[in-house]
Amino acid sequence: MKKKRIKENRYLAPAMSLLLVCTLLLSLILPDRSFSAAENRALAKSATVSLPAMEDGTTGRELNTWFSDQFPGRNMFFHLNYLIRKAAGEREIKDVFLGKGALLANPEAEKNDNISATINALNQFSSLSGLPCYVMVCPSAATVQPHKLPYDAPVRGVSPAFDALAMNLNGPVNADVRSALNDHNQEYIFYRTDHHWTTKGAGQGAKTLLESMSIQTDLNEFELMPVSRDFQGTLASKTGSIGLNDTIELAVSKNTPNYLVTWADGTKTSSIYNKAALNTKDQYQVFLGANQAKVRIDTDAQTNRSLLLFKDSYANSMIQYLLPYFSSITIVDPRYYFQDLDLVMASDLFTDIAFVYSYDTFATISSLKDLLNDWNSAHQAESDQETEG
Amino acid sequence: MVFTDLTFLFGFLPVVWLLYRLVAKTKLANFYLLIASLIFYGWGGLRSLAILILVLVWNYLAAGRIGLEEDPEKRKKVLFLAVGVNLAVLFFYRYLGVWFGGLSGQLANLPKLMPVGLSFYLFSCLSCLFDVASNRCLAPSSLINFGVYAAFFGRVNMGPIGHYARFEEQLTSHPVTRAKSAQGMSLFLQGMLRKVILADNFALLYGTINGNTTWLGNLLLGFAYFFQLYFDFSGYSRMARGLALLFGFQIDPNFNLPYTAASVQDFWRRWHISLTDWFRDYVYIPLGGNRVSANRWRINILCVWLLTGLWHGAALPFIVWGLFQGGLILLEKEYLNAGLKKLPAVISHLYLILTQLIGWTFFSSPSLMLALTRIGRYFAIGISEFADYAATFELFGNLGLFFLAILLSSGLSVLLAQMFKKQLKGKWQFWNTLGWIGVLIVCISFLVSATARTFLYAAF
Repeated sequence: MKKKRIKENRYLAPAMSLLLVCTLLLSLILPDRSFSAAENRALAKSATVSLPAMEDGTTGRELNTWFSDQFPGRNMFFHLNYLIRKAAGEREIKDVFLGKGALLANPEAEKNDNISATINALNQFSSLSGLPCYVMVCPSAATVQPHKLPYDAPVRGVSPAFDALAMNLNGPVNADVRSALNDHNQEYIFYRTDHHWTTKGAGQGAKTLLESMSIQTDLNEFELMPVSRDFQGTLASKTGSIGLNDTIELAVSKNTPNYLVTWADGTKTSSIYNKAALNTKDQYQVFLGANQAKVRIDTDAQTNRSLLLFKDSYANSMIQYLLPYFSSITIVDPRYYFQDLDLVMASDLFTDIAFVYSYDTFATISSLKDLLNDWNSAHQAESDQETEG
Repeated sequence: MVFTDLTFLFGFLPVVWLLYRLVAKTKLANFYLLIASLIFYGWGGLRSLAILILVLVWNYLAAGRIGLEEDPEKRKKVLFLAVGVNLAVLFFYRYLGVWFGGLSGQLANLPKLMPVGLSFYLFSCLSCLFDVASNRCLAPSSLINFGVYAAFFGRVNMGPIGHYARFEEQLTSHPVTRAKSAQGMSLFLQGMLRKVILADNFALLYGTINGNTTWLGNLLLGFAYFFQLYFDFSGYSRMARGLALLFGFQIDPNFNLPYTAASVQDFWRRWHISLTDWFRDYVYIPLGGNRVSANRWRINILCVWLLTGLWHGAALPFIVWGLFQGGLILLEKEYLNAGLKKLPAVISHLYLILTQLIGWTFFSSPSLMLALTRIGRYFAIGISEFADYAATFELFGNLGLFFLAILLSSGLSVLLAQMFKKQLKGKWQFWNTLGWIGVLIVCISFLVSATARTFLYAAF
């Protein structure tokens, strides 16, 4: 073969080899980290080394993941990538729109006809339980604050889901929060870096829910107290954004009753706030802590109304507004609750049952539907037997 | 392991490359490279490694036997047996499951178990068998050298496919020089830029816009794959050539600005050159090439392109794609060549882009029906509307990506680089080095952010 004449940059190979070797040495010297605050996820710390794992390539893949997770300066590169993408004109990263001073998650596409199936389960549950039920599905910032979206952003439509709720909920009351949020959509009602609503947004949710229960509330009675100004939420972790921070506020009212919280593990505290979370990455956990299967709050509010609340994390920041109006609030997160629902139903004389969900969870996660359908099946059978008897 | 794994970039490569300096001038050089290559390949699974080793040993022994056999008839029989075993292995993993998977779930699962790069290294081995059988070269005298030829980690996964007779000389002497290292590193980084910054982002665009039925969305989808495939495979090929140079080997370019071609024939002289050469040398010419009757020649062309389609995949769209390319080449040779030469360069170039856009649509579509639907949409047949928000959003969000893609695929980037070199004169080496360090840092940011994809052509 005829050899070609080569004329190239003689600095390049030595410079690159130095860079590669130094990075390798740094990677070996620096201690492994177990968690990435920037990405809000656990990092790989080892690989499975066994003959079967080596045979099918699992060991190699896991070593690659470990090396990548422990790469020196990983966070810096992660943020750099965000800046490069933004500078290149990209307006969406991993289904998150890079909006005007905010990150806005595109609403998720519905999975497996989850919405209509959950509505059917809710209708049946309402009928069989005989208790007043209230359903609130919360849209996200991309739906409520379109003015913050990049121009022409193709946001997934959520109106069909809300129309289905309005038309097909037969028994439960549809607590439609959209107009309340829209009325305040120029305000700070959604975090800029997180998929949740702010305490102010949650206040609008609480007001709508309480009004659907014929309970009048005045949000002016609540004072918003900032407890953190450096919150960077899930959307910041997903995109690697830098320069965007959020403020977390607590809603405090002089009318808030004394209360006792019983957590899923049986421990009791006198506060729904987990202030230790403000020193961690996921500061939103200041509201009711990490996701738990069941939490009970007993208050000394002068009322005989008792609430059973099925929810996802959206409701966590709303509960502070509900305390003055119920003598007890039992909170169930069906994503983590795997026991018989009758155990909860029999734990109190509930007067109201509420379902508070973000649109994404309502449209994609089947745990609420599954929990209700299990209960519905058992109680429908009992009802049928009674009818036959 | 693939070239864009951080484990490879900052673990395997520096260690293997620097240690190679210690053995480069000794008799252990090729042995060392073979062991390193086997570790590289075995990283993906010991089962695949075992198949690679069996294939290497079989072909080495078969080539030796062919070389020893003086009786032409017996030599032909040994060749048929040796080639037959290779093709049987390929058929077992590649085609059996796709064509007969309906008979059993286990059969259907076979393509998923196919060792990475099987069709690339098998074709490199076949090249050796054919070259030895046709006396183009002697049978490999050393299993180690043969192993380095077929399984060198720089090209075992995705080629370029080796041509043994052309490469044989380098197996005994491949000195590492400063100039080779410099060009090798430059090529490697050029390839990484193409793969990580361009191909992977076109893959993201393809995933986002997939399913859009508007004219604009469908066109974006087509061009996303058009550029993804090119930058993915040409990026890999550059990285492979760069790595080879770091260890003293020179591998011919596998791509030569194919999208600047003015005809389909010209395109195939510039795209995946090692595969086109392989089919020309070992299928087309043995079939008689163009020294046969007109009808036989037409059959030869279609036969080569049917096999090219089959090499890429067993599904119907690949076969149709192969025949589409063969049909276009026949059409050009018989009717269009004179006309294409008279046309303004822009028009003949647009003809090439359109035909290849249609070709890659067959290539990228999971079914023939979907491919035809997408092709119809290029001509506004069956579109839902001209454009929607999703399509315009993706178009404007990726203008920079398309601009960079056109710059690199048109060769304008080479002109720009030369211009900078002239302007910077004595400072060029400094700025060039700094520029490539910048590119490496940008690539790492994409790799760390987990937007990197596996190489597309590894599936073939």
